[in-house]
Amino acid sequence: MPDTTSLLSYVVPLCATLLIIVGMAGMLHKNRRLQFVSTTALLAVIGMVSLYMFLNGLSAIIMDSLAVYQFSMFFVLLFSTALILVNLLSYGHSNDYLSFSMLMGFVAAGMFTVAMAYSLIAILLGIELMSLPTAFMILINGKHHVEAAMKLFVLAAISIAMIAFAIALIFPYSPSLLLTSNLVNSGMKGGYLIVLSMLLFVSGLSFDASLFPFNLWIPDVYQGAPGNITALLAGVNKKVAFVALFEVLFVVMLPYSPQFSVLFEILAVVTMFFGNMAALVQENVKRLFAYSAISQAGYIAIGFAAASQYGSEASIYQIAAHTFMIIGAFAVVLWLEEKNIKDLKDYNGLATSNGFAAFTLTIFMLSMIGIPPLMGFIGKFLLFTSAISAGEIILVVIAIVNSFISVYYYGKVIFAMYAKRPREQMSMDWTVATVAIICMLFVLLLGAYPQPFINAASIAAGSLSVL
Amino acid sequence: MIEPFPFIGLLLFSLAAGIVVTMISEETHSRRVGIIFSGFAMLIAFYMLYLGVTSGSINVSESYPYYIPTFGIQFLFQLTPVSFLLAFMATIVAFVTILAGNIDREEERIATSLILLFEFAAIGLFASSNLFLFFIFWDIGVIALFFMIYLLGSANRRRAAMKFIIYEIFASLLLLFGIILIYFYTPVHSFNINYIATNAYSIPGNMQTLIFLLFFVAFLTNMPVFPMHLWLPEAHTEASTQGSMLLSGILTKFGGYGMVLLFTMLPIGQAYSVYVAALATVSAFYISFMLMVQNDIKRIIAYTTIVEMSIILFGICAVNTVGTAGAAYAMLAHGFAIALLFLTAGSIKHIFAERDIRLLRGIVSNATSTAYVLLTGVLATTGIPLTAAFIGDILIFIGAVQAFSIYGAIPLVTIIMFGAYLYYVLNKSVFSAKEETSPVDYIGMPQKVGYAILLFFIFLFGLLPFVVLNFFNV
Amino acid sequence: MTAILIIAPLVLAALAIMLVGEEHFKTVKYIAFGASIVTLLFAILLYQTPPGIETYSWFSIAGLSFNITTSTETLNMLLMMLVSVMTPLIFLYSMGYLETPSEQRRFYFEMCLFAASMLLFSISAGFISLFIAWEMLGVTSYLLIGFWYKREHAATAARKAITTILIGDIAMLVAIVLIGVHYHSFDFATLMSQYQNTSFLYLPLLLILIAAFTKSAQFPFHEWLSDAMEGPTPVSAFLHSSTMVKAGVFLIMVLFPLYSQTGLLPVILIVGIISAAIGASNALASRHIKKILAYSTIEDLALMFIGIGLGALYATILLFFVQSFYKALLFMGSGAIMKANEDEEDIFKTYNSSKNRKLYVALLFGVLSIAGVFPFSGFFGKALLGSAASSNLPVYIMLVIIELAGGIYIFRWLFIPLRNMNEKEETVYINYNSIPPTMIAPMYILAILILLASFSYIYFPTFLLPIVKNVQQITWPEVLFVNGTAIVGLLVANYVYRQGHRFYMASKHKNLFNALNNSAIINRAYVAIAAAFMYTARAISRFDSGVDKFTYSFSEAFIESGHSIKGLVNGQVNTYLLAFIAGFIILVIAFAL
Repeated sequence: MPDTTSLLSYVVPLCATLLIIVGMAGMLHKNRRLQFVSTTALLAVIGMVSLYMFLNGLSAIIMDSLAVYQFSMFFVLLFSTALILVNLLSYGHSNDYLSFSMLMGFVAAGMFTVAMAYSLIAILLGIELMSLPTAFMILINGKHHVEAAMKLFVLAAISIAMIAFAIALIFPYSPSLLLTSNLVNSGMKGGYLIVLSMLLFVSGLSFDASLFPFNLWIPDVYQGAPGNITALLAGVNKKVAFVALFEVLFVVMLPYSPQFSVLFEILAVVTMFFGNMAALVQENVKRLFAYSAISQAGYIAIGFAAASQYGSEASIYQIAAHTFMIIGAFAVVLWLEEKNIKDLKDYNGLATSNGFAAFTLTIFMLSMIGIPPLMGFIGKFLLFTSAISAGEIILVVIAIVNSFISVYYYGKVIFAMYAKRPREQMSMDWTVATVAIICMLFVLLLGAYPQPFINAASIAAGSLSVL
Repeated sequence: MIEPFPFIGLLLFSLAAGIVVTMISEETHSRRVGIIFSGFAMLIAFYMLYLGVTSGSINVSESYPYYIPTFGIQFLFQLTPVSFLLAFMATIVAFVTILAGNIDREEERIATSLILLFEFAAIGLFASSNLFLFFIFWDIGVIALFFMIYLLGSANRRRAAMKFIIYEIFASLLLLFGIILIYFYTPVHSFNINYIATNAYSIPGNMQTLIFLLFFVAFLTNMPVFPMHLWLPEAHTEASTQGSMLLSGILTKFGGYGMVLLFTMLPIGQAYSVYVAALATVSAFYISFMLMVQNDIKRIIAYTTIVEMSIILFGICAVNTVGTAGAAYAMLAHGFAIALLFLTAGSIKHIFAERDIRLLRGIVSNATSTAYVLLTGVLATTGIPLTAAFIGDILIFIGAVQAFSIYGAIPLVTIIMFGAYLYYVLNKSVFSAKEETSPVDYIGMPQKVGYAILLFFIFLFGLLPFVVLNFFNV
Repeated sequence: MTAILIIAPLVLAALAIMLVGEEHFKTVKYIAFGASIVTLLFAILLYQTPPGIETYSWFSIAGLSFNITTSTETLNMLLMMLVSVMTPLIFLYSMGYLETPSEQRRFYFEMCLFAASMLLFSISAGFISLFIAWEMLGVTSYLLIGFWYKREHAATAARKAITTILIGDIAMLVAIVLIGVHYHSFDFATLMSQYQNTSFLYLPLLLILIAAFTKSAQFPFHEWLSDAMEGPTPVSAFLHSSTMVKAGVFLIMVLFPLYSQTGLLPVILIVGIISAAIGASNALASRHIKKILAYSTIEDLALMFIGIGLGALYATILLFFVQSFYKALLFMGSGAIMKANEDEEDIFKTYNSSKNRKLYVALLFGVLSIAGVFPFSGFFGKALLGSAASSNLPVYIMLVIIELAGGIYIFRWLFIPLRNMNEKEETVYINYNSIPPTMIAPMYILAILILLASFSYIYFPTFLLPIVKNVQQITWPEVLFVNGTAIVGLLVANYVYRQGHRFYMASKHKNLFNALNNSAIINRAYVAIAAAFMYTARAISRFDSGVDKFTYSFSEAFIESGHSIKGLVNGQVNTYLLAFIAGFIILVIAFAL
């Protein structure tokens, strides 16, 4: 990789640091609006800079631990966009927005670190920086969230421990902890240990990526956490774990692609079935979406099973698609939850009380089923084609069966919302509405005209492989 | 050859604009807006027919900038004689549906925009020359009709809509899988139907069989043909009049058109045509028997749809010019006739607030025009000469006899069975007088105009078949 | 000369009738009548022009052209003239018969359409136009039988007719499809010129035969014709005696060379004899004034089929021709009697038919003709048939018996309404003066035609020779046999019905009467077949809903299985931890293996 270090490359880490500082400053000045504007502005700067760098194909390595290249910039852009949305959502709906903002600084820093990671340590640090403050984010919203926060905290600690152990196992066989250090050259003597390390990595990261069986906490925590945090967990945290998996598997462990292909075939199948089957009987809508998010993680895993650049491209696309779908969906769900509308039966006749909410939720769910011409369909299409090109026909059949199963529970929500029940009007507050509209526009436009975004995903995947 | 003018683009664009305008228009104006836009689409279709007739062939081909160049997917539209007939029928049926279908004038805005969306999907599907676009339009159409059933249906619509969506998504997922497989197994990866048709022989036999089965089951579910028919009667019972008109009139033709494509695309289809024919025969008989125990007027009509679609499948799997042309013509005829029947069924429901033939008596006394239109519709369904269905039926069976010799005539027997039952219904409910059912309301001018339009086309295509059949001779 | 234009006046009339308002109900009958006169003139004009075949291409596909072929050859002209002569007479009769204003438009519309279809049928020389006409005949017949749909019997009768005819239609369609595929043409001419080479034709011809039997009411499809009498009398006189029901006979006559070639004639002969026997016996036993005539029509048609079956085309054509007049006359007469007896249908409740001398004399013409008394035209038809059968003794014996029965029932039909009213029986208001002259006049025209038709025996051979090849002569035994049966019939009927031995006979020969009145058995068979279908349908429907329920409960069970998976998520962190570790270990083990 050519080292064209420029000042611009430092903007992202710098702004991330500033985000933490601004977050802490917020605790002092206690001005919510100022806090919101400043954090949003910083995220926007990060987003725009990363967009610029992505488009111009700039690349740089910062202190041997962070790397600027198209893959990282793609995800920095995606995460900053998602964080802007979550930030907006929290501004309107968090009990303690200032604390949230402070913690979000850490979380964001962790996310960007993982996205830009150039060494395994950066990944570990990033994950740690992201996971633990998230648990506190849940906590600050009140006592009844303690259980969820504790579950997240305990299990996150285990997963981080596993990742750390994985790094330790690799270390003897690698000249350095840089992602690019070539394992193959160090001989196959430690082959088993490297595979073991890979399993540890995958298990640890699957915790956040919500792959079965490391994901059992997901429904509890998603349901127990306030909606904005759930959106963060499902929309961003999970994706960060996938990014880390990309970096570890497609760069460090690329020679072991047959192994992790098989591994992800298994994980994808069990995750899809687990998510979909459990979602069939859910009555709580938030929990239903939690399971749906699990099954979507299973679809994303198909790209890993394909273990090709094509597969990673498809996964990247689907990651982005799911980010928008799930943040939009949880935004609406959050708003309804505050109105004490939680269960499926409470959703009856939502369309009469707020047609917009019902419509956006329907679009998100149709996208999750994979109805063209929405973004989720393009994602699934790419995933299926990539899997078939890798010869994984059975996997595609299973994925199709799962798509079919998912129609039922998404359909249930749609049925409930459009049931003919007289209900009083409810007006949506602007934060939720904005988030929902932005997400819907992404889902509609990138579904109806997907080519630019497919190109972007393809470029990102390509740059990862030449890192 | 029609002069190069982007007809299909114009059609799709005007319909898309129609959806937007309808959605933002007021509830009371929305129907009129819908009439204007679908009427415009119908006029374009007329003009295309006119050009086709004067030039003697229909061969539209349009391409627009790439949609997903990575996969070589572009907006490539093409009208073959088969797809032109179906698209033409779709514009007219959709127009009549908007004009006359909503007799109770409920939820006009949402209904009209959904119909326009469905029409958009239908025309896109019939015109697309690319399997990927075909699939996209397929799903849009299915979703539009799903909401049509669920939002505007009657009491038990939830179960019916769920059944509908489950079956249809099942079909569409199989279709998706088949499309992806076909893409990867053509020599140069392509979704282009023409390319696939000329190169499909190079797909290995097993894979061809798999693809054939995937497509076949998908289309079978949509048509629907036994054993995938279970969703249709229930969907019809619960759907509104408009929903039923579109469902039987146009949606079932998605599958029919798909079957035509399938048998022209994959050479292996011919090896299975005998089995397909056997299935279609079983289906026709099975459903005819089913029909004989129905009492709900809409259910009866729904079952005739399945019988007709089975017969159409029978014509398609003959895989020869006459059979295919007959199937296309029968689909055209069936679209008009079934829309007419469902419109009359809706009128009867509106007039008498009753749909059970055991309780309806003497319809002719209180709703004369509806009764005679229903009679004509039944005649048109049973394939009486001078109605369009006759041309379709006779061509289908000539094609089938060419392909399967004398056995090709067997499904004709079903016409006796369901014809006899339809006449029984007519005599029991329509032309009878003991304790007449009393009307609660009357139908208005739009319904009568709707009848007139559909009858006009039934007889037009029954009397002047050469107008469009010449396209098949090129 | 464009022969197909002959249907134009009536089609235009039908359209005009459809379009005129309800308030112009009085004009429609004149429109229809005028159109029928124009048609008659046109037919006469057509008769003057040399015969020929005209072909119009309707449409063609893949080298198969669907042509409308018309012919003005002898047989076609015969039927066409018959129809165009009958149409004005029937319309004239209807003017007096049908008085209800609300029914006028519907009646004349359907009648015009029917007459046009019949004309199209008569000039068809190809299967496509033939089938169009054939189906339209069925449809209009259905509509006209069920004309008084408010009577339950009429609706049922219409349904029975259309169902039976539908069987024939489909049989015909199958035959057409088979022929079209095999010969790449639908014209009779092509078929005739190529038939030698194949046994393929056997099945299509058999199917056409079935179609002909349904249309012409032959066993086992005959029962609809007697029920069809629920329609208005002009309909019975027109469709169900003189024109439509003969379509089947006509078709077989046109295709006669093919039938004689394929050896299907014995089938026709046997069906004809059975039908004739059934027709004659039911006519003897029926009490319904029109049904007696309907069964008699079945017998007439059966005699024609017997003629075809014997290969005696000349006799058949003659019978075909003359039968129209006397049968239409008798139906008109029955309508008049019913009208005078307050629409009474039971023949034993009609009285004093001799009060109207004009009516009675006209009826006498018809009855003598059908009984076969010289010199009425019926005699020639029956005598020729007899001479054709003389070489075949079993058939000849059957014919004698059937003719004998024919003589009895027709005089029975004449004598029963003749009785004076008996005070003991219930009194009915009888008014023979209410019969309008428009109803009597056509009967006299027909009576004249009956006599004129006698000359066809002399005139026909000259222009039928090209078709029939050999012309039989009536020999003395036949003269005796036909006139003899008529006289015996007269005597028996006189003995039984005029001299009051009816009740004695009926009580003593109960079994005989039951055997004669066998229509109920046939009807029971129909019902049994329908019931079998319905039984199957119900069984299949049960199966279908079973499958539906099964899929439903299967999917329910599938959805419920989600609960067991959901059970993994029990809210306990230690479970999650266990799963975490267990999952890892399982993966390790899997990869270690």
